[in-house]
This record gives sequence, C-alpha cells and structure tokens, in this order.
Amino acid sequence: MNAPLIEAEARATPVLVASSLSKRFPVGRPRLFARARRPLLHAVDRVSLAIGAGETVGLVGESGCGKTTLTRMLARLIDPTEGRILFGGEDLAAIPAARFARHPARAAIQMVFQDAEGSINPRFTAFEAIAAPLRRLRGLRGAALAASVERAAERCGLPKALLGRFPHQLSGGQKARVGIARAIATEPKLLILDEPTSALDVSVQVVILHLLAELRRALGMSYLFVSHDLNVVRLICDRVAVMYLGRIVEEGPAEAVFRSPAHPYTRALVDSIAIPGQKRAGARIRLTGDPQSPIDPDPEACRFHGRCPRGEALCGRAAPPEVSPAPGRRALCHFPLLEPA
Amino acid sequence: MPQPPLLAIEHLAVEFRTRSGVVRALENVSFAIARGETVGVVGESGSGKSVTAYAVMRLLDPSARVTSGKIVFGGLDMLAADEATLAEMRGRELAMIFQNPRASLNPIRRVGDQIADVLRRHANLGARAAADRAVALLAEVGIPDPSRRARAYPFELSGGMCQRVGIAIALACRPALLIADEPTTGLDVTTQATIMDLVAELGAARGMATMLITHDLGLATERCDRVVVMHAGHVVEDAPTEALFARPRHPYTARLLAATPRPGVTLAGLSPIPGGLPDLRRDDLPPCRFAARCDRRRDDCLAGPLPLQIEGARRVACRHPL
Repeated sequence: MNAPLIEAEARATPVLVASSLSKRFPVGRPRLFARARRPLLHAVDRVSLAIGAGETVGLVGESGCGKTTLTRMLARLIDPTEGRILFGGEDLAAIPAARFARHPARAAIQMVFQDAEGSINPRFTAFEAIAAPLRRLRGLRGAALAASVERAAERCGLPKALLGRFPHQLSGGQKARVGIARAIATEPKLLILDEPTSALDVSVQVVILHLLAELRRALGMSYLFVSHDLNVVRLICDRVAVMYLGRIVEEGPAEAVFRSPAHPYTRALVDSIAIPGQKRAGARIRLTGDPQSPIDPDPEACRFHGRCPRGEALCGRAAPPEVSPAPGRRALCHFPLLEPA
Repeated sequence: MPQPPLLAIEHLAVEFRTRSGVVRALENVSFAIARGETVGVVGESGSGKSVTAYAVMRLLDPSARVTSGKIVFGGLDMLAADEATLAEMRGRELAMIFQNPRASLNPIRRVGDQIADVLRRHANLGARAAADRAVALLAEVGIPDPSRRARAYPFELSGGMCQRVGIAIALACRPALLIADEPTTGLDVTTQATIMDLVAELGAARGMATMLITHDLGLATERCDRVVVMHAGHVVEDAPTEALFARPRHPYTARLLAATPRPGVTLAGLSPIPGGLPDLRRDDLPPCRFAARCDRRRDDCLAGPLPLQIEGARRVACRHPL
C-alpha cells in the first residue's frame, strides 16, 4: 500500500469548494429616494478556494483584508453577496444564514475562535459549553449526551474533573481545549480555526498545535487555519492562501509559497518574518505608500498598486491576470516573481 | 573607565498583596541597560516582564510593594524619588509604549491634542507651538496627512496608526530610555516591521536606549543587542542576543527556543515545556523556580541560594547550566 499516494488522492477530493465568492457591504448613510447607488465596501471579492479532505489550508493577510468575512461566509454565519459554496454536493451559499442553524451541514462545519475566554459563555461550565452543540445539532440528551461530552473532552486532553469548572476557573490552555472540544464534539468534516493559538504562550501553543494535528488525523477533518503568525502557518499548513484587500493574490503548497513567493505582496510578507535565533541577512523589503480603499475599488487596477515594489504603469490600468508559476500554484499579478533557475 | 549604565536594576523584589495571599512577583531581579542599547526582556506570561517595567516607571499597582532592591536611572534613585520628580522624569527622560495602543490613548481627546499635552507639560511650548510640533511628530512617525489626522479621535485610526501615535507621544521629548511593552502584539507582520523600524530609526538618531518586552523570540533576535530571559519573577539568563540563541546556557532558555516554531523545524521537532509556572503565593518556593519543570534538576537545585554564574558578557542563574 502506498500511503502517501492514498493521502494525496484524498486531498484531491475537496470537502469544500468556494467559487467566485464575494461579500460587499453598503457603507455611508442610506438616503431615501437617492438616485446615486450607496458606496460598497468590497470585503471579499471573487474568491475561489478548495479545501481537500484531510488538508490544512492556511489563510493569511493583514487585518482588514477580508479573512474574517471569508471565514464567516464559509461557516455560513453571514450570507455571501455572490458566489457558491459547494459542500457535500450542495450549494450552501443558497441557504440563508438564518436558516443554516437547522441545516445538517451546520454540525459538519464548526469554528474555533481566537479568544477562547470571550467565546465561551461565562455562565456555562466546561461541560455545558461542550454539550450545547450536541444538544442543538445532534439532539442528544441524558446519558448519551454526557458520554459524548466526555469523549470530546478526553480527545482534547481535558480531565473529567475540570468539566464542572467555569471559564474563569480554567487556565488559558484549558480554555483553548474547551473551545476545541466544543467544535469537534459534533465530529465536523471541516474545522475553521481563527487564530486559535495567538493568545497563548509558546509552551502552551506547542501543546495545542500537537493536539490539533492529532485530532485531524484521528477524526479525518480538514482545517482552514487563519493566522497572523507565519511561522505557525508554515509549520502546520499543507497549502496557504494569501489575501490582500479582499482578493486571494496567491495560493499554493505552503512550503513552495514560503520558499519562493510569486506575488510581490507575499514576498514582502514572507520577508517580514522574524526568525527566532537567526539574524536577518541583508535588508528587508519595505512596503511604502498607503493601501487602496476597499470602498468601490477600481476594477481596472491591481489592488496592490501603489504599495507594490514592482508596480508599473500597467498595474494601474488593467486588472492583473491569474498566472500559474508552477503546477498547483496561482498568483494574481502582471509581473510575478519567478523562481530563480 | 566604563560609564555607569543608564538604567541599573539591582536585586529588585516586588510583592503583591492579594486576598489569597502574597504573590512574590519579582525576586532578586538585576540587569542594566547602557545608553543607546536595545535590551529585550523575554519570558512567558507571568514571568514578571511587565512588573519590572512598571516598577522602573514607578507605576505599580497600589497593592504592590517593593520589598528590596534599587532602581537607578540616570543617577537618580527611582525608588526614593518623590512624585514631582517622577512626573518630571516620565515623559521627558523615561517614556513607555503599551501593548494595546488604542486603550492607552484617551478615547475622547483628539490625538494631536494628546501629543501637544506632553509637549506643553515637558517642553514648555505654548499651545500654538505644541500643536504645530504635534503635527510634525505625526509626520515623523509616518502618518500620512498628519494635519488632518491630528484632529482624529483614537477610534477613527487603525491599530497600527494608534501605535504610531503612542510612539509620537513617547518620543515627543526625546527620552533617554523607551520602555516598549509588547508594542507590536496584535499588529500585522508588515505593520509590526514598520513600527519596529520606526522605533529603531528614531532611537538610533537620538541615542535612545530601549527596553523591549516581548514574548516573541523572533522579534527579540532581530531587534535586540542583548536579551534578558525571565521565568517566574527571576532573571535566569542575560546575554548578547546572538550568543544567547546560538548556545543557550539556562535550561529554560533552551526550552523556550525549542518550543518556538521556526523554519526547518517540523511540528514533531517542537517540544513543549513541561509543567507550568509555580504558584508564586507559596511560602516554600525553591531557590530555583524552574526546578520543578527542569529535566536537568538534581538534589542540590532545591537547596541553598541560587548561584549566579558570570561568563564574560553572560550571566546564568543555574547550578547545572548546559
């Protein structure tokens, strides 16, 4: 048996495919009988992304680039303006967020939030926090419920003795475990993790990252991993998608993207990583200039134009094409950086 | 003849009185910062990094008590100084930037006015001159359209912008020492780099020293001349940055580095630090507070005072260093 081959095949079957997904928010004051259309903030713009079975996809980019809006659409907490979300042979984008709570796919897509403290009801014990999704989505009660809660807690390394405690009685690492246990209790296919370790100390972070890797293996889940910490993304992600002002500007295998970024923005991002215990050789790329406004952006220009160290006049006149610098990789750029021969 | 350091912290001990007992937050903390030097202070949450900074600023909570030790800044005994001297010192010679830039600004005052306040208080500028200088400072910290932004309230600015305002306030009177308490935590990597460049450039131009408190070993590697490692209220190691990370001598420094994600190391290659910080309320804390988590522990680690080994520019508080 060739295990890597089987794994590669499993990854080739996506659990979720987002195609041309957009979210635009009207901004400014609504005017009665106004002739002019209200300005629109393009939070997410024509994003396509596939997440393979058992795969961990990293989503990176600066604050305000649309990472959170994208994850909220994929988790079906908010409705997309346009586009499709294919999951289990169904277009989830067609189901309004308000109705999605009762849809069977709700249990199959779960989220782990950044702030474990703030995302757990302070008046719920750890047991109740983990039990809530099992009650609502699986209809479990009584002994069956208790057994499922205990199984989820055990998988996350939470001792039974801690299940009666309230969030304020738990340490940061234990709260993170409760947040993860609650998300995996319904045995989801896709787990969306929004900065799950950014509030933790390195010693606790390692433990949680090991736990996440182990859970993914044991339960066969896929992860969408949103993080600012590029060292962590590089460590645990198979593929990475880089967002800039609402668009995915580069996507590909994490190792390849980090080693030889094709998009100038990715290059600047990768270059800004500080490596512990290793002094930087040479000067860092500095991004100058202001980001463009996400409100009614010019459709005939690259979003990175004005800050891009490689930008030319063309970038301000024409939207960049999608290029593929290598198999399995894509970038939105007129002048992508190509791997040195 | 060697110059006396700009800041010397000697055998500092700080306790907090809480309802559940006395927390021995700092014990025998000593380190120095020379003029123009950038010194990193690293360690997990609860290691005493911020308490040390607040003790230097004399901004500790009323429940805190300095039980022993000395803090000498620019020849002044900070612990003996009266409030009037301290108020003169803070903002002029000694400045601080905080982790949460938006929360450290006054939410109902325009940012330009907040910068002007410092200048009027410490640089004896009139209202008009201070307002003009505030706009110039905003330009200096790289805020585009500074005269318009000076009239903005903190909520109208992004996190990175607020941190720039914090830096403008801190650097308004050209302090000799800047204490930066996790200045870039929560900011994007690209913003992080620009903020730290700004601190480094302005610092170098003015010969300013910086105490950089961070839990990010990458940031410490990149920005600091020297790094002080703290654990549970103790300084466990203090060495020039490159030497410290190339060959850590204290087991905790080595463990911290081994737990930090970095290129070329797989997840399996990262090892957690066993155990957690000891309860600092205990009466029977061992002389080495890392002993319970340490795999190099021997019987003599738990007895007698902790030896401080000095090897050139490095100090290690360990009986059995690596």
